[in-house]
Amino acid sequence: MTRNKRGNYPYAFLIPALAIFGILFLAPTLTGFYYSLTDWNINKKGINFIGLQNFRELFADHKLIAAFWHTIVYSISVTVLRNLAGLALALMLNESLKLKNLFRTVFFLPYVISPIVIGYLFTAIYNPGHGLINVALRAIGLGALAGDWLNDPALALASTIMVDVWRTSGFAMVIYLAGLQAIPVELYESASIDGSRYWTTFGRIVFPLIAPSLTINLVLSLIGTMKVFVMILVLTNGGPGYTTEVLNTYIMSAFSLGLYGQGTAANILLIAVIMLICFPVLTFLQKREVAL
Amino acid sequence: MLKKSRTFLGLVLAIALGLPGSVAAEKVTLTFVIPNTTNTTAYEQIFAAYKAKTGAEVEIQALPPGEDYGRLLLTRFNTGDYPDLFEMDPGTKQYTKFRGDETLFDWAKDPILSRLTASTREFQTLGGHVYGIAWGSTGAYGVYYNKAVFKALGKAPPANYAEFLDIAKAAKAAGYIPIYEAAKTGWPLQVFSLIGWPSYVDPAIGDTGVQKLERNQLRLNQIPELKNLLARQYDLSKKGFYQDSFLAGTYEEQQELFGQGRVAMVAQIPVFISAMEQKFGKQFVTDNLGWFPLPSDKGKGVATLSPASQILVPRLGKNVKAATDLVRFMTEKANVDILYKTIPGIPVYNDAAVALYPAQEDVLACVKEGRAKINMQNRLSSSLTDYPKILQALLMDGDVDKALATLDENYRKTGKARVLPGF
Amino acid sequence: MKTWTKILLYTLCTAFALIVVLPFLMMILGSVKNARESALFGLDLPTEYAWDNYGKVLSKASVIRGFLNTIFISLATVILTDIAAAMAAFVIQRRPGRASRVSYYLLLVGLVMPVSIIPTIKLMMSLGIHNSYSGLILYFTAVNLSFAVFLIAGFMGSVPKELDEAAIVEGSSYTRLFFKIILPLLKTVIVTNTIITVLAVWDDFFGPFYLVSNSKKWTIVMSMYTFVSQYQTNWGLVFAFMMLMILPMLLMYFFLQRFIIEGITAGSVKG
Repeated sequence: MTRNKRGNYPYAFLIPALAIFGILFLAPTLTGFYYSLTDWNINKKGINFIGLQNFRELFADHKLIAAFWHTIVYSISVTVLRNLAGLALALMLNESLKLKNLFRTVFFLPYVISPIVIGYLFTAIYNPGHGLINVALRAIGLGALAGDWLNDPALALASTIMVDVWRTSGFAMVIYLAGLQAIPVELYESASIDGSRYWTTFGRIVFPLIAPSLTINLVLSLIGTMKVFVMILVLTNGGPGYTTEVLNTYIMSAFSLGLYGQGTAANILLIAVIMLICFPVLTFLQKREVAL
Repeated sequence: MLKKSRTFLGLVLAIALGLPGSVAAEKVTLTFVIPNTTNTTAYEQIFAAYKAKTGAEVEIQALPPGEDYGRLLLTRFNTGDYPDLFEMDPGTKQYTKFRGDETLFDWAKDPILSRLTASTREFQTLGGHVYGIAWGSTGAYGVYYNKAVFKALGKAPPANYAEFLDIAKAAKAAGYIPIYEAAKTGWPLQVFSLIGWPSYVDPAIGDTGVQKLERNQLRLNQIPELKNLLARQYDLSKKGFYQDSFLAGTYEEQQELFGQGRVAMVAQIPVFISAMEQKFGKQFVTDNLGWFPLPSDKGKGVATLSPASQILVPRLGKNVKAATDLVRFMTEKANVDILYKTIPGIPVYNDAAVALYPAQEDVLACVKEGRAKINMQNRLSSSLTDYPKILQALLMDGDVDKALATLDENYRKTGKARVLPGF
Repeated sequence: MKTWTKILLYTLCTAFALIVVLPFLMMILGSVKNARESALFGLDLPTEYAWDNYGKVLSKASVIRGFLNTIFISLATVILTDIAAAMAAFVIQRRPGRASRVSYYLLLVGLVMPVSIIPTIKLMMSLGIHNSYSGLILYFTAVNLSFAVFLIAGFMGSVPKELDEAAIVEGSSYTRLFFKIILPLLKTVIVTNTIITVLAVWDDFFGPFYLVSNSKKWTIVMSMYTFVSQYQTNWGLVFAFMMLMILPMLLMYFFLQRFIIEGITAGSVKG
């Protein structure tokens, strides 16, 4: 029996996945581009093309501008902090401590808990009067630092960032650990024979070799955090005022008002932001991986 | 095909699991949608009585309140998934919102209307149609105060705004919270300017001014008295008359501290009376809860009335006859009395027996003196969208012009989105 | 390694572990306190154990309904996702070619692109599946397919191609090959994917919030959202509800964490 070397694996097997994905994910994304240029609205029966008017109105709305900047600040802050924490934890756990598995289990735990639960939990933790944070600060004599974490306009966004870092550092850690454990032991040994100190070894050998882990963590983090929604909804609902509005909460308020065309336009903006930030970062990091 | 067999399977399972009592297909179950902040005691009693009389079940579906409530209902309308009946904010602007001409049951010329007071009938009529039956009571937004605290301060309800500020100052000096603002909860922040409107803005722009606003011929940021009103609210916060860290203030804490006698005054809506009754008892409300309208510079001020909520019946629903029957049952004297027993207020039904609280009697007195106007939100078809957030921002940075500009922008944007004439 | 370094590391790790554990501890304790005590958010033991908090939460019809809906929907989604993704990954990995490449990249788009939820509503309305279980299940499947295919395709490489060739030579059809031979060998990655999909469905707010307006079909996330907005003054009840909600996740984690963590690491290393 003659057979194609590749084998006639049936392309029909691709159909279920492509069909569902195509119809319920790709199609709406594409039609979204169209709808963002219309006056689609729950109160109107027809849908009319209105060109770039939605976008013009979006950029004139200072609530959207605030949401836009907050999304970017939130994303970059969480990404940086999460990766620093994750890497630090991974480095510590990589030092073959006893109880390493226990620590790993504990550090990863918040990641499997629903963001909505974590959000509500932290409204309690951040409570200015009785919440664990302020109670702890007062207990060690730093009561002066105790603030109204979620209601002080200066602190609110930072507080939400820290919750996300708390929740996801374990995830970053796990990926870094895998990368660290893939580094051959011989490299460490040869480095210590050379008399290298820890941080030199780290800079010259470890850090470059965990480049793939870094790429994955950074890119996943950037993408995921730009889509933040439930946590902020539950922690601050975009407040106080507009100080923690992000693109997804903005889309929700547009949706609540029945302004579907505008909501979709804001969604297109979110897509654009993700693309514009992630692709350069991804390309840069991948080039770096290759070079290393 | 797969979907059909799945639905069929589901149906078989549902029947097989034997939902109690769902034997005959004739058994009617009506779905009644309400916001989850509604006190359901009266409903439960009335629906139990209805079941005893007709055998029909009424299932209460509670949805999140606020903007989401209207949107969820509208989405259901748009997908043809009509509830049998639902509760909604007062007024004819809901008719436009839900495209009443196409979707709602018209009660015009129905004998049920004779049960309602004349002013309520008028308020609920639009172009000869009546799509909503008033359900609830007329109450007043205003300054609700703790009589015991006032007594301790030796103060009486103010005769003008200057006296109002004096009371706040005295309260602060004596260690009370002069005014508790639930800024984090959001919606209570609006009350101050809404109760100031009839005392400050209405005299300046008159009914013609309001009609102009309705048709987008007058803009909110062109009304100096409104700017002044917002400036006054910011001023209260600057003078320290709000509680510390007021941006964290919640509705729950407001009720709690007010009941404990730590707060002198709050700017609140009629449901506050009901909430205080539930938390602190009828005696507390009778003895300690007082009300006065926000005074103007020159006088005691004009009361802001909030009309009763309404019940609407989609005429495209599945059980229209049963739903309208239920409404007729609910508006019979016996059941209306149950309503007012659990949620007292100025009745909108002609023969209702209601025992009013002293605070409510004060409101009635204002009405009788002609010092009352309906809440401006109910007089306009568009909405003050995002008002709570705008006020939060105002209290954070004191920029009254920006707040007013945003408010105006949102009002017009909403008007345009709702395709209202003139926008 | 020097002793003081070891001590430092242990201290740091313990400190971080506490930062993770203490909030949960507070929640667990709070779930059996009465309204007044739970609002104090303390780490002290309750003066009286309010075990009936759990009872009260479970007595709300919307809670039980939320759980049942979520279980049903996540199960259906998992089955659909696992099978469709495995089938697609099978072909993509085994038959490199333009069609496979294009399919793979198209599916990867789903990893980056946020869901265009509002047009999805319109689409589902026109297909007549808005506000329905099937609509929600299809939506969740679509959203989870990308990661599933990525994960399974990565794993496929470790299933020897010789098995395929042996089966084909014996005259087996590809369908039989896939379902009888390949699929069982994918057990590990399928378990990982199942866990991840279940987590994704359990936690998702977008789907039920935007796509389902009938509160009877809501998942547990929406039940929690409406519950807290109504009962936020009684933290005891809120904490109890939160405990009930995360309990399945915690159980799954403690028993199956090996799969979760290994699955994620495998995906990242193969990248």
